[in-house]
This record gives sequence, C-alpha cells and structure tokens, in this order.
Amino acid sequence: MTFDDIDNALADLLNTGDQTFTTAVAHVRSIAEQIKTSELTADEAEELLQDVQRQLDIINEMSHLASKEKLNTIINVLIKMASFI
Amino acid sequence: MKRLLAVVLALSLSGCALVDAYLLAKYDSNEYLIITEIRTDAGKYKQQCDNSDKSKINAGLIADKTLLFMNYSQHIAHNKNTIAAAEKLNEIAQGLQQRYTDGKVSPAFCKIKFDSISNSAETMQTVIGNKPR
Repeated sequence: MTFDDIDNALADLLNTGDQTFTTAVAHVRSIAEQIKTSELTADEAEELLQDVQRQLDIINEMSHLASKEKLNTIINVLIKMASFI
Repeated sequence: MKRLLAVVLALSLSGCALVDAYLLAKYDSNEYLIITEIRTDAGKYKQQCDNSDKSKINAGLIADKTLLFMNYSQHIAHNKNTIAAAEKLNEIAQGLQQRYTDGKVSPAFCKIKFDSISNSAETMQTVIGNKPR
C-alpha cells in the first residue's frame, strides 16, 4: 500500500460523513503525513505505516459496531411500539 | 397501520444484520474501564518519550493493558467487532514493546506510537460506551 492508497482510503472514510469517525480519520491522516516528514529509520516508518492500516481496520470495525448499535435501538423501539398496538 | 409499518421495516432489514444487531453484546463497564485506561495511559506516556528508560517501562505497561483488554473482550458473546479491534490495538502496542526489546527507539517513533494507541482507544471508547444497556 502506497501513501496515495492510504490517502484515498482515508478520503473514502471521510466521505461517509459519520461524525464519530471524522476526528479519528483526520488523526490517521496527520500520522501518515508525519511519517513522510519525520526523522525515522526505514524500519520504524514501515511499522508505522502498518499501524496506519491497523487503525483503519479499527475504524472500520467500530463503524460496523456503531451501525449495529443504531439498528439495535430501532429494533427495541419497534418491539415497544408493537406492544402498544 | 403501525403493525404494517413495523413489519415493513423489519422485512427491509436483512435477516443476518437483524439478528446480529438484536443479539449485540450489552454495555460492559469493565470493557469500558479498560479501554479508558488505555487511552489515558497512552496520552500520559507520550509525554515521557524523550526519556528512553521510562518509555521502555511504559511500552511494557501499555502492551500488558492492551493484552488484558483483548483477552477480556475475547469470550464475550456477540462481540465480534470489539474483539477484532482489540486484536489490532494490541498489535500496535506489542510492536512498540518489541522495538524497545530489540534496541534503540527514536522519540518521534515513540510519540507517534502512543498517539496511535491513544486515538484508536478513543475511537473504541466512543462506540463501546454506546453499546445497548
């Protein structure tokens, strides 16, 4: 994965417009920028890039979980509504 | 009419997603506490990255805590997303500890690592805190 691939993946996540993850995505983007400019060894930069991918995975997992939480709330409201019909 | 609306809404959701969401693991105060501690500790440890002796100890402490979080979440039923995220968070922390075991670590690397742990933990804390009661 290149820096451009990472930037595109981050831009896609930002475009979802989910406020919960906007800050996290912006942070990952800033880290990717720092890796490009910081004084790091090649090994360190490689590991930090792998961490960027791990952070993207964490954001994706939490995004799925947040969707399930919203769906769980809807289901429980529907069950309560049904009991009043 | 309400009954019809409920049925239409229920049918519009895929069966698997519906079951997954309905059976979702409930809010667990221990899970929330540990992820909060990881976030807090990582933020504090980042400030000590210029002291390599302290940072080596801190790297071990944070790696122990992310391992605890991963093991704690692992056997909670219907907790797939948290388990997967906990594994990734633990990989980030174990990588830092391994670097200190292998040799010299630059302060810039240390700071970015603790930043990654702290921010990922905050993302997880936000969502874990919203699990159904």
